[in-house]
Amino acid sequence: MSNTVQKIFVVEDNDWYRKLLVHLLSLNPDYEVTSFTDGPSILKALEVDSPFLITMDYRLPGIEGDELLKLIRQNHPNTVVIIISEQEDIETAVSLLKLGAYDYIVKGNDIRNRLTNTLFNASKQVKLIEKIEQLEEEVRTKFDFNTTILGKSPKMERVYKLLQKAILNNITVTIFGETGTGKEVVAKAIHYHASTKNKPFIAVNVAAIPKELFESELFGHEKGAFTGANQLRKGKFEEANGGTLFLDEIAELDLTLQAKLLRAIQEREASRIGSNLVYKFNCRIIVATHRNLLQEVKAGNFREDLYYRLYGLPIELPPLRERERDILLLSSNFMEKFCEENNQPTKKISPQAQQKLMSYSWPGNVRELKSVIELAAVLATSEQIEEDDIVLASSDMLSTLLAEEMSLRNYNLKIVQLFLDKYDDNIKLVADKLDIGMTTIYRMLKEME
Amino acid sequence: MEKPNFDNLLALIGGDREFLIELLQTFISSTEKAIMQFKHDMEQNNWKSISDCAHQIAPSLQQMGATESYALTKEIEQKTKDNHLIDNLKLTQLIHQLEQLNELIKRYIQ
Repeated sequence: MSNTVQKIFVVEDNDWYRKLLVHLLSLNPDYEVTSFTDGPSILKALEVDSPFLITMDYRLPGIEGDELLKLIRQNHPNTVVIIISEQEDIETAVSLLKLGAYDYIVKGNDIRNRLTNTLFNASKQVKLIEKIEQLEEEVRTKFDFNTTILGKSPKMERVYKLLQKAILNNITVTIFGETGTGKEVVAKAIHYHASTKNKPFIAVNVAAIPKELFESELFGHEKGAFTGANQLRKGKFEEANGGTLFLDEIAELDLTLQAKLLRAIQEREASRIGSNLVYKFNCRIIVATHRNLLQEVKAGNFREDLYYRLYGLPIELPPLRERERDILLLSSNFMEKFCEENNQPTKKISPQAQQKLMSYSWPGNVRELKSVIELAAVLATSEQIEEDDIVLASSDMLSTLLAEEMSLRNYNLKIVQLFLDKYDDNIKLVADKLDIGMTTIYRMLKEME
Repeated sequence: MEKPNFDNLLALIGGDREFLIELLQTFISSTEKAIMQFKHDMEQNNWKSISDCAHQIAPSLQQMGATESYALTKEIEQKTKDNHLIDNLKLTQLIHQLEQLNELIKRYIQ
């Protein structure tokens, strides 16, 4: 509903008053007014049309006013209904408002002012609702699996299968992955595809909150609970009620706070600091960490009982270097989006630039890839991204190889794999390049399986 | 004899005299029907129907500035609502007032 004419239906069995209402509403050129004399005729019209607003008398022939209101609200929940009635009975007015009437106007001398004000407010509300629905849809689209979590590698296929399971219920989800692998993106994708999609998504970066303030942040505090607590503040559990609470970098949580978190999650209740009152909450918990939580448990840094409480459905996001097939797919996608956002034609990535992207280890994972692609789009002087436009933090293959420590045997396997990726699995060519036999490569490939 | 006041009504409809005439003509025909209905219902002792009819015409009487007739109509509407017997005198009085009102309006239109 932008600046187009808005349809209004008027239901009034009194000829005189119906003419008056139609005339008053038609004084506004933005309204197209159609009138009806009884309930059945408007119900028939509503089978094929959906007006912005309906004014109806309470006492109508053919159907009771509250029954008609219920039917309208049921089938046209976005249509505003205003009751215009002779009855001054407050109980009737209240019951109709509870049934979903937007306003109840008593027929009187100020009918024009009342109608004008009510229509103005109703119009604003309808626009707000439309805006909210539009924004909600944009957010849902933004976190659509198919557009935001791209990948065709086997490891990502497994992630998709787990995501499909995660959205069917409210099991706690633990997302493991190095920095930049998309942990928050996955958490949001789960939230916006599950039954929680219309409820809040509250994210907390545990590592970013000072230990002293974490309890207040999570559970809330009363006014005056401590120095600086100038007003009541709701905690994240309360804010997330009905929706999702995402605790990022959960492994960074202090041990004493872990105990409090465990209790809250187990009992599904908490108290604000400075209050004895307990409040209940019901939200889905999703946690994420780049650490190996089990190792943290063994090292005494993370509580075992909290670990098992949070474990739920584990989703491991592979580092980008283990998703070589996805590097070019993601690169194209980031390029297309960046160019679209900046009103530019999409740039192609030259084969040399692609090679450079493929041979890097991506310690910053997907986040780093996105930054590199966007910078390349800016630096490019033509419609094609050249090798020099790809600016990497560390661009030689040796650094890529040494990105993580491993045994000599595994280094050899890694070198062979890198060369195979670089030369499109051409075993003969790789054997020549590395000055080894093809049988050696076949044997190593078998070991990799 | 009660005299209607059209000033408020005219202001309400944005000073549109042509539409005022249309409304007045509609009022005349609605009121004539209501008068016939009242007479018929009185003979039949159908007080519920009298209440419904009174409910119908009351808003237009209010907008027309016919305050006495409006007050009488509302009184009759309330008393006959649950099919209660009322004093026919009041209803006869209302019918008479409505007939006089119609005559005044017809003269105004002419």
